[in-house]
Amino acid sequence: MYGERRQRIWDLAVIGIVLVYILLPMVVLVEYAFAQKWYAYQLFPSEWGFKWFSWVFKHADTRMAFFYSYTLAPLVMLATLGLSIPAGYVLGTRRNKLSIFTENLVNMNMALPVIVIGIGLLPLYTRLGLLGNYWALIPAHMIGAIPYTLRSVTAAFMQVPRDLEEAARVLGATRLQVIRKVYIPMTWRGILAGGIFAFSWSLNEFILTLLLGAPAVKTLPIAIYEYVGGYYLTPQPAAALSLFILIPSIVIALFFEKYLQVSLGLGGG
Amino acid sequence: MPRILLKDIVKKYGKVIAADIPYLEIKDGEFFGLLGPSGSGKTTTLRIIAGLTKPDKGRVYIGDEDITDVPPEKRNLGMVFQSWALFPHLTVFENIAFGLRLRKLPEEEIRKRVKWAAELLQISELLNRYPHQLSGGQQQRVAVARAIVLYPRALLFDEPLSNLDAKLREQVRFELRKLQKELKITSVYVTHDQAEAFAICDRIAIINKGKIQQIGTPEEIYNRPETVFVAEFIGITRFIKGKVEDIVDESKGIVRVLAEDGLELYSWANLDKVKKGSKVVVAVRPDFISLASKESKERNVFKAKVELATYEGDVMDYEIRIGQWRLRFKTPPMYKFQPGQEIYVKLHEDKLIAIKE
Amino acid sequence: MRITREDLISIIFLLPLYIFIIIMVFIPIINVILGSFGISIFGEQVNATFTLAGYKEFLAPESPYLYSLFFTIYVSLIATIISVLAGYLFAVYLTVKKPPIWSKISTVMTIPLFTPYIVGAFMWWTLLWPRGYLSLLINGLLMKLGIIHEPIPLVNDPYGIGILFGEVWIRFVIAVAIFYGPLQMINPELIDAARSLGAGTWTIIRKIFIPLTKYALIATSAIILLATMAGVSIPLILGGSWPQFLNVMIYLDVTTRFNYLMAYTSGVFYIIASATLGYLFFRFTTRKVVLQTR
Repeated sequence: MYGERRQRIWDLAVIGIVLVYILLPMVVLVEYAFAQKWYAYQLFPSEWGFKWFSWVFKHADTRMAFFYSYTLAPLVMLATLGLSIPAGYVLGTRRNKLSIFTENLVNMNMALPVIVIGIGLLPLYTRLGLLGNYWALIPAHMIGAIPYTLRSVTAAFMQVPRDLEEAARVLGATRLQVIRKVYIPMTWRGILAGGIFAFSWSLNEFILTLLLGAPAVKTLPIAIYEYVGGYYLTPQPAAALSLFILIPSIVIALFFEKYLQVSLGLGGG
Repeated sequence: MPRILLKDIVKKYGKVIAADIPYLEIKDGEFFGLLGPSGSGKTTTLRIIAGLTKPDKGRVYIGDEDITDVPPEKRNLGMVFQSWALFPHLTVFENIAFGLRLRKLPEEEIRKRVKWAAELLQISELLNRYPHQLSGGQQQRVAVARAIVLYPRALLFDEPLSNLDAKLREQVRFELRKLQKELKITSVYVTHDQAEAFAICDRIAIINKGKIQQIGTPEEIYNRPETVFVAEFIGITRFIKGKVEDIVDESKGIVRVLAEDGLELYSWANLDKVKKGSKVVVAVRPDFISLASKESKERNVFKAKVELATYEGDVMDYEIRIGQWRLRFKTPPMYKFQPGQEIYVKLHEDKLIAIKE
Repeated sequence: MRITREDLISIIFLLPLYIFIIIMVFIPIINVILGSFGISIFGEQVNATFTLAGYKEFLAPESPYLYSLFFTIYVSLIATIISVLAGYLFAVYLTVKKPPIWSKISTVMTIPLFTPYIVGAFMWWTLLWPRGYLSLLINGLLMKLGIIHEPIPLVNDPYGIGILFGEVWIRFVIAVAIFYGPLQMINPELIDAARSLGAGTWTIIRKIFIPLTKYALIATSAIILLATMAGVSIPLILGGSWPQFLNVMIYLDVTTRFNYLMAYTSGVFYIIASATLGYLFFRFTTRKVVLQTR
């Protein structure tokens, strides 16, 4: 009745304010990216278009950034999974002291600021001559991704009932068959989620790339930083560039929510 | 203690009618039951009284006061929940004192009243414990103590015994009734358990699909169900479908019914509703049936075939067939009929209920 | 002790992970700690003699590092308090009122969770720089009210206002996401019971919700404070030229000033802070976050 409707109006007001707060920065980002002409005295752009997108692609620097970002991400994904699947199998199927200890150790890493690890790695990379080395960025990107990927993979293996493996073995299945018929069907979702997570993490990784890769290897976040970090007063190209990592991130997250029923959070330092 | 009155209450969730109650009066000092299957709207009705659910339409009164727009925290009604809802971070004492503290009563008064409630419910020695240290029965008592300590205008119970085991439940029923009679608090009790409602309540409303089917004392509900739903919901009931051929005895309300398969039987009916030629169903319960001799020339004696026989210790439980109708029938355990055996039974015409379809 | 076949498999499968952690995490951390005392594993950056000069400089009166540390803690604390408070209240609101439209739009709320920090920071920069909408609005309002006479900078400012905007935007959503789960685990009949006993909404928050979720509150505050203090992107883009976050100081020390000793020393303070806050977090998340009877 009356009270009910007033409650609904309240709901709309509260949630509306939160929604505007969450979405406003994004709307403005899109506005900047598509603003072709925008004079300083105007509130809104006078001309819209794709000028900044083509501008972004005309520069060799940003073109390379695309290449680096989108080739590093799948490599980081594969490397992280290569490390996490065997480890996750052990952690998920054997809940002994070693597993608990390993989990705590990995979790502890999560609490360490990336910048501290970065300055600690700097001399190591310098000594090995790996500064600015494209391949050497893969393990650097893995540092932040591993805790989450490992957790997702471990959870997937935990869901496989212990007696299922034993039953399959009793029925005469070989180890390989057990993996193919029991583990892969039951764990692929968790493994996929973990892998995609590593992919997104790499796409967003900023500070380690800045310390260990730049200026030789610049990924998209570094390119964005160079446009805005130096108090560059035309933010339009940075806005256009931002969309190229923001939109994939959002699409990936929506995909997660919808098809894998996993929600995730990541930011990339 | 005041009465509770619901007028023209409607509450819908989407298109589902959760409660549609034109008029319901719960009398002063009465222990009133809301009985129905799960999802029938009985809890919604109780929550509307408590103020926890707002009705779409209609008014709620306590005494003469219209409390429809009063928030639940200002209604001063005691409520006992299905999960008992004890605050896990507070001791038993603080749980009972919760409402008193909110009313900023002096410490001495709080102690006095908590002590009174705890003694009444025999939980005095538990006051320093936490809820997770108590058994289900003890938690239930604390929940009741917490509700009565505020001297509420009425007590509301939302299936408070459904989380107890069967034996304890039976014992607590009597205690609750005794307590209510002692305090003379108008009380509303929601349950889906017929035996519980019958044991505890003075009057009962049977609710289905948000609507009240019948209001009456347990005896009235059991003996004279007004709708097929009530007859079916209460007790073990089987039905014989047919048509009223004749009104045999106007004063006693006895009619002659011709069943669909040609069986002819006599039954009681509410003659205000059932007329000659009405299509009816005749409700038959195990206790409406007794054994008869083959030679009996009385009305309503039929040959029946035993289909199933179950030994239950104190009784034998049979499924028997008369014509095409399957009925349930119970005897003391000394009679033992075998499946397939033919017996003669009498259906008591004053107990059978012919209900208009 | 005999090593079984199963143990062997465990060890072989976990070995790459351990090697990775040792090379990519342990060695860098040890390097930072030793480096803060002037001892270098890899030579080059620092003189290879033991020294406390770094700590002396860090803790000296009027030390820019100490000032940065306080600035970092101060801004991060404010950001944490705002986000935890707002996030908690919003999560409670959702729990108590259960607005029907929420289920349809809850996905939108998760956007900041997966927005790259650098993009998130930049988005707020576009709103807060002198030509940004929010800057025009707030400055216009304040000037109309006569509180200020000329526009104040809301980003790259000396007070950390820009950093606060950026941090709160991300942390608020994280707080909502973390609090929502434990709050859902509270038996809804407890709220009904409290109401029927005479408690209004504020009393219910104070006497029921907060005591029942206090461990979640502590753990969440710790993890949010830690993340705010540690994140580099936001203070790098939204912070001013002075004062700066300590991690920005570290970054500048290694990239432009080449003062590794001070970078390592500041790094040790970060390790201490994260160990403390990380301990708080793990201690209270392993405890029962929500008490419940049923």
